[in-house]
Amino acid sequence: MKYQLSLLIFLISFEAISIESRVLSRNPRGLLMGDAFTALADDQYSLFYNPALLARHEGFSFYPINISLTGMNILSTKVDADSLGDSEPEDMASELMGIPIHLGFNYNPGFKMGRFGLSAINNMSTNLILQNEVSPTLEVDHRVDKGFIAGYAHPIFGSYRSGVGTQLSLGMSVKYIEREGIYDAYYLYGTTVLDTMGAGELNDMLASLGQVKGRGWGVDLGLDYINATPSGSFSMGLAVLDLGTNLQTDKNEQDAEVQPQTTQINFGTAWMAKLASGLDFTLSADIKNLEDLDVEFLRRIHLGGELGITPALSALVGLNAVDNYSYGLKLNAGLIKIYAGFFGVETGEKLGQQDSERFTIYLSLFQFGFNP
Amino acid sequence: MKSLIFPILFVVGVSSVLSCARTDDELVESAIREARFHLSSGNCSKAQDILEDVDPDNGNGDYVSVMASAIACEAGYTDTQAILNLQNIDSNSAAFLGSFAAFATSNETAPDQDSYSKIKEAFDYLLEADGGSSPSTTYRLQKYGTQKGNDLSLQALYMGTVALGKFFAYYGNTDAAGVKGQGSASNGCITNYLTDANMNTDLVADNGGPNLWASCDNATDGSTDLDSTILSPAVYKRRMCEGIVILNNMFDILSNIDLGTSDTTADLSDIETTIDTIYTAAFNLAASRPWGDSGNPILDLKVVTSQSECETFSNNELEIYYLSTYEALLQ
Repeated sequence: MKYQLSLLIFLISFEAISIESRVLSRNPRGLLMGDAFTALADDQYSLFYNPALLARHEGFSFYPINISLTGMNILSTKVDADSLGDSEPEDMASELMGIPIHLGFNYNPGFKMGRFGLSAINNMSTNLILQNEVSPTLEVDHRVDKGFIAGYAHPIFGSYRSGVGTQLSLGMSVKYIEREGIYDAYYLYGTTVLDTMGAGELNDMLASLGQVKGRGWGVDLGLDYINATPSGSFSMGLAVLDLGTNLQTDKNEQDAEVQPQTTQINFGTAWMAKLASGLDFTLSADIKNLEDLDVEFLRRIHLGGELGITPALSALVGLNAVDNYSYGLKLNAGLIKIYAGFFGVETGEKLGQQDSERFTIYLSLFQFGFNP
Repeated sequence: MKSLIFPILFVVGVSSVLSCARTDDELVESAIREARFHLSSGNCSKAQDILEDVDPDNGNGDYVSVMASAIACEAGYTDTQAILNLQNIDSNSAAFLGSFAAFATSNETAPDQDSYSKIKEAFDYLLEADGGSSPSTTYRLQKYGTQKGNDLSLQALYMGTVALGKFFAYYGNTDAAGVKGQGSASNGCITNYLTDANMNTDLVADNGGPNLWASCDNATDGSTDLDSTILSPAVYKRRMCEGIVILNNMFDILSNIDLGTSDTTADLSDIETTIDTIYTAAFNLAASRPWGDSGNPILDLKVVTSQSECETFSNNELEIYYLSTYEALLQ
């Protein structure tokens, strides 16, 4: 009790400010479960959440095609889609003020062989928001990441085989990232934006905004604990992502820097119960960004749930940062797996200031595995 | 429960070792983003409070820009309205100043109201934040770099156009079309011209040219809010110099930044040309009239970008500037 109280006091003592975490890739299942996925990511996304989860893997698994797309949920956003193409900045200012615009694409093929895993990094994420109606300013966080991440995990206590057992594992991964990005705030009526809007081609526009390139290596560390029986499991994990990841920016005229990939420490736990054949449910909870003393406590909390109705169909729900809900479905037809749903992300500086409502669609094809 | 103790302690231990508070720069960046958020919904005072809660960073162009926005916000000002105003500027020098007075935003009903003075305060903040001895677009570009320096200068320019329109409309007593002396007040001139009797002679006799000064036909028909015999010397000079310094800084900005290739900024290029024409006409007019012992102050005054420096000029010099520049061209 004393330890739990200490932990609670330690976490509540965090307060204040943050913006959306810059992550390399997200599992759509995780997104639809409130991004409470640190203890659950024992699939093709292990290396993006917690390398220690590789220790749960047996045999060989191959993930050749797994594409996910995320974007702003225009169903819940009061925006005139035509205004996105307005050429007059003053029209754009009135229509888009304060509305977070997001577009993301991930393609991370990879494989796991025993406790070793390798995934390619092919991610694109663009976040735009027009703020300040006095002097409208377009905040741009656009990045395209390419590279790879490879990791290995090893049990340091117990044994987990065929989905049963108790095991504590330690994992580590190494990644290489090449990043092209734009990360700045642009005065809407300044010459940079006004000239960019007349540039025409996308590449010309990106160059006009000062897109820069960078590259670097990074390391992730993780700890995973699982206690599983035929009727259910309990797990928890701690991930230290991007420990010392340092992206060096190529020389450029603007003297701009690519977005840093900063260290994140996430703690997660999950509980799964099998109710009957094909029927199960999972509850998960994450406490994220333990590395940042200035993030509000409630913003760190991510909660998720999954109800497996049949092996082919699951319903997913989640909640993060108090009022960002997520919900969706998983359809699994063997070699074809699909996730679709909606999720919310806290994007403001302080809790409750600004949310970004998004959708995600995911398609996985020809995923297979065997355990000789 | 005991089996959980080690993992919990591990989490606390790792977090304690690797967690840290934000640096001053990160706090400033966070304050800037949060202030922008509040300015998106017109919460001016909240935005200012947040920016003032961190160490002011006038070396950061974004901080300067957002703080200026927060100040101008108190005036109900938006750059979007200023941009719309630009489309109504008549670059013909005879109609130029009147087109500013005809802006929808040129609607002051008293001097020094927040709707004007907060824009001027934000304008001054933008121009003086770089810490130079007097506002200079060239120095601003050096200090903040080409992109941010250009943006700050343009932001000031847009504010300047609105402030100048309000200034001319109120003190020039213009009507909705920007015609001097036709507003709801009684004055036909912007200010009084009392430092040299020849000024009154010329105004009465129209000696500068046919109807040169339009409704201003005697030296005591100026706005009571710009009257040196009523106002304290400090207030009189401050107001007189506000009108001068805004235009001078607009010209300094337009002369020194790259206006790019967009249609919006192409309009600004015409303004630069017109202001230059106005200065030349004013210089020639002042050179041709016997208006005092100060000589011709136009060349000296047209390069003054600092309010305090402007206020060191004599009343006679300021009157000559107004009579040959604003009175002659706000018709």
